[in-house]
Amino acid sequence: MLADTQRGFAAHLLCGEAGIEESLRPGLPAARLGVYRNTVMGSLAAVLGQAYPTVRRALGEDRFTSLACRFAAENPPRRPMLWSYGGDLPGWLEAAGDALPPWAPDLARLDRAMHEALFAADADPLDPARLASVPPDRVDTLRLVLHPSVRLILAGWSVHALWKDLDAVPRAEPEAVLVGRTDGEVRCARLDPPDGALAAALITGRTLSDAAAEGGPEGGGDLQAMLLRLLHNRLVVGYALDAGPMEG
Amino acid sequence: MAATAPRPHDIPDAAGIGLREPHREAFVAAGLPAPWVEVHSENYLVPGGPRLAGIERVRRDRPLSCHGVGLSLGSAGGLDPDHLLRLRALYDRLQPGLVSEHLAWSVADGVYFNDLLPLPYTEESLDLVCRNIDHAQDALGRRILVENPSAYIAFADSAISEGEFLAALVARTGCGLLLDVNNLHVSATNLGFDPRPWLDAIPAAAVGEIHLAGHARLRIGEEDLLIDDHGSAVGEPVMTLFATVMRRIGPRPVLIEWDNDLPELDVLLADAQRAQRVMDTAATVPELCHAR
Repeated sequence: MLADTQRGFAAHLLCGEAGIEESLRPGLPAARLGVYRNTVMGSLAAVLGQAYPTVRRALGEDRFTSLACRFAAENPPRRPMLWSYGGDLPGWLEAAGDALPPWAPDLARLDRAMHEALFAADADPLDPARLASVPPDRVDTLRLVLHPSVRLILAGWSVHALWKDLDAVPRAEPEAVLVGRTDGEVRCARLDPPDGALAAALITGRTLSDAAAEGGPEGGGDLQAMLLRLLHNRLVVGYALDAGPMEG
Repeated sequence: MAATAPRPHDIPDAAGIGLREPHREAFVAAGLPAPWVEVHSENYLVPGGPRLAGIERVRRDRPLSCHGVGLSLGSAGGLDPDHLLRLRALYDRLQPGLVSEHLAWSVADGVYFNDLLPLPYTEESLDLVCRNIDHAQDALGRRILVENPSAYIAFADSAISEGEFLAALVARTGCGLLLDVNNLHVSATNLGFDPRPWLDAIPAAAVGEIHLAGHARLRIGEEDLLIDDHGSAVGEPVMTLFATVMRRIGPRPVLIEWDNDLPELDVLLADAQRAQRVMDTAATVPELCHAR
């Protein structure tokens, strides 16, 4: 049965399992099956290397490839669009331990966010003049709709500095990194934890007043600066106002 | 999207290039210096962003062919209906002049193997691949071309030759063929068969496109194998076989594929010009059995 042949072949590709060589034409060396296994594992490691370029450089080609092959054997792709493959790698690195540098999972999350932002849906930025037309007594109830590429990483390590320069010494200091795509180009910016809390609230669609309460003045976050940053980078694509109070 | 989609544009009988993302901007900046291009469909199944916008830019001014690498026509479990829907939406948007897939499988039990894996050429496989091609052509609303694979192994229970298998697919489904001359050379060398009877077996009129690419020679165990790595210029034996094919079947859309160790765009374009010259020269030689 063809289904059995393909299942046996698949087990060989992922785990090097024996058995499929018995289906080969007599006289053909079983070592030839290794060409397929090498192609599959090597190409998946290369795909992961493209999605996690900073982690690959930070860990070195050999170490990254060996980790990527183990990840791929345990988590093979389920969809043929390989740009979307490997979103689980940061969590897997965290669980794998493997004497990996403790900042590696956070750096992987940043790589992933930038990779996803590149392929996220398109949306036209909001004309800031439209925000100016919101009545002042309604501004507190305003919720932003951000560009589909916007991502926020909450990291325990100074991964933004590391992303910019792999020679930087990683520090165990919490930070957030805001990622978004402006005019086709993916950019990222480091935020202090209070601004990170503010950004997280805005991204999840909280009202401006709720967001300000999360990371606002007492926490040290700056709502106005955050709004300017998002508008300047053309990452706000719309807004919604909560229904106003009933007027009698 | 229907209002802005370009009209389908026939692919000319000329040498085009497989356009890869690292070359896209240089290709546009150089004034789109190839008569047509082909892309891997799955690379453009993205929600948005510069990659999709970039290929739409190219498509506005050049005929485009879409080459699928993930449909898995040989899967015993049938085709993924979601993937067919995604491909249909992309093809409706880009209006490619040609759409192609492979005589191979890459999906088993829902896992996608990023390779074009070999099928045993049996009656069971033939029935299955015909069903899958019917399904694909129905769902995509288009005729597809099916490409011959490069092989390193063959199965003991293969009872049908590859050429006869391809001919039967054409006869039973109405699909066309994408003749990959490098794959034919690689398979013929690795498996020890003569490409001439293979060429005799396939219906020349069904060949809608030709692929050319480079391969490597690698020591595997106790023997040398040809590896279809698309990592170099087209080798001389493949160009010679291509000239034979051209004399037999006449001009076709020809494509240079280069996927690994990408050179400068100019190097790829020079290989396409090399293929064009072979095609032009073959056209001046009396044809033995020109059928189209």
